[in-house]
Amino acid sequence: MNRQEFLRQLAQLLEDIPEAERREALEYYNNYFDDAGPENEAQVIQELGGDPQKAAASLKAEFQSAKTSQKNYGEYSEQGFRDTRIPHNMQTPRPMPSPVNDHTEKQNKGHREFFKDSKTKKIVIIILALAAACSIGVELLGGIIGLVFGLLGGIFGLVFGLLAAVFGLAAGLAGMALATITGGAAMTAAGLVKCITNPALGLLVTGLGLIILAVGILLLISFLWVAIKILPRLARWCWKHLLQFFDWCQEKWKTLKK
Amino acid sequence: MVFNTGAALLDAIVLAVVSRTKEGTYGYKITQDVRQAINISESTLYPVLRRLQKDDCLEAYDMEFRGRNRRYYKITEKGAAQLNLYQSEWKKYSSRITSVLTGSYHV
Repeated sequence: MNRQEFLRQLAQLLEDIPEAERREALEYYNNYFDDAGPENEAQVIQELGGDPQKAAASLKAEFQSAKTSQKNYGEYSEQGFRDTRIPHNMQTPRPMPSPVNDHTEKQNKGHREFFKDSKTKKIVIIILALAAACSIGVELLGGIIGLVFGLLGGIFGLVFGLLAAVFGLAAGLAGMALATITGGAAMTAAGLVKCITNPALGLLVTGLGLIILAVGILLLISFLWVAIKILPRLARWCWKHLLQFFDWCQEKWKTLKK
Repeated sequence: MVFNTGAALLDAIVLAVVSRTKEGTYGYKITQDVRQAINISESTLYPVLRRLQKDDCLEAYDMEFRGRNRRYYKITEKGAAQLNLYQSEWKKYSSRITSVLTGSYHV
C-alpha cells in the first residue's frame, strides 16, 4: 500500500464523521506524510497501523457519537475505572477528585472535600433516621422549617415595614402640607376680604391664615426633604443590607455543605 | 511496552512535549518526540491532539511551509496549568507504584 491508497481508504472510512473533522484529520495525515518525507512513506504507514482501519477506528471513536468497542479505552487509575472516551465528569460511577480540577489547592483538598461530602450526607441521613424513628419527627421537622421561614418572613416584614412607615410618613406630610396650604391660603384670602368690612377681625383672620399657610409650607418642605433625601437613601440601605444578608446565608450554606 | 498508557497519561506526555517550545511544534515532530518516551501507535496521537485542542489546552495555528499549510500546536495557559497538575500527580502516583512494586510499601 502506498500513501495515496492509504489516504483514499482512510477518507472513505471516515465518511460518517462530521465533515469539518474529517477534512482536518485528512489534512493532518497529509501533512504527516509530507513531513516524514517520501523516503519514510512505508514506515509511516507501518506506524499508522499498517492499514487505514486502525487510524479510522481511533478517529471515529473520538468524533462519533456512536462508540465502537475499543478494548484499550477502559483505564484503571487511582480514581477508579474510567472509560477514556467519555468526559471525566460524566463517568459512572463518579470518579474521585481527579487532576482535571482547576486549582492545585482544590486538588489538595480534593480528598478532604470528598470525605466532608459524605459527612454531610451522614448527618442528613442521621437526622432523617431520627425523625423517622420518633412519631413527632415529621411535625418537628415541619416545625423547624416553618420556624426558619417564619424568621425569614419576619425579617422581610420588618424591612418592608420600615420602608412602608417612612413612605407613609412622607405621604402624610404631603397630605397635611396640601391641606394646610390650601386652608391657610383660603383663610388669608377670606381675612383680607373681611378687612374691608371689619378691619380688626379681618386682620386677625388674615394673620391666622398666614400662620397656617407658613405651617403648610414648612410641612411641604419636610415632605420634600423626606421624599428626596431620606427615602432613596433608606431604600438603598435596606437593599444593601438585604443583599448582605443573602450573601451571609449563602456562605453559611456553603460552609455547611463543606 | 508492557503497560498500557491511559488517556490522561497520554495527554500529559503530549502537553509536556508541546510545551518544550514556546511557539509550539507540528504533528509529525510531536509524534516523533512522544515516541521517544513511549512506543505508541501514531494513529492514537492525532485524536489526542484534537481533544486537547478542543479542551483549550492546545491552540493550533497554520503556517506556510514549502508551499503547503503546516499546522502547528502550541500550549495554552490552561494547558500549562493542566500539565503542572499532571506532573505533580505523576510524582505521587509513580512513587507509590514504585514502593508497592519494590516491596517497601507496608499495608
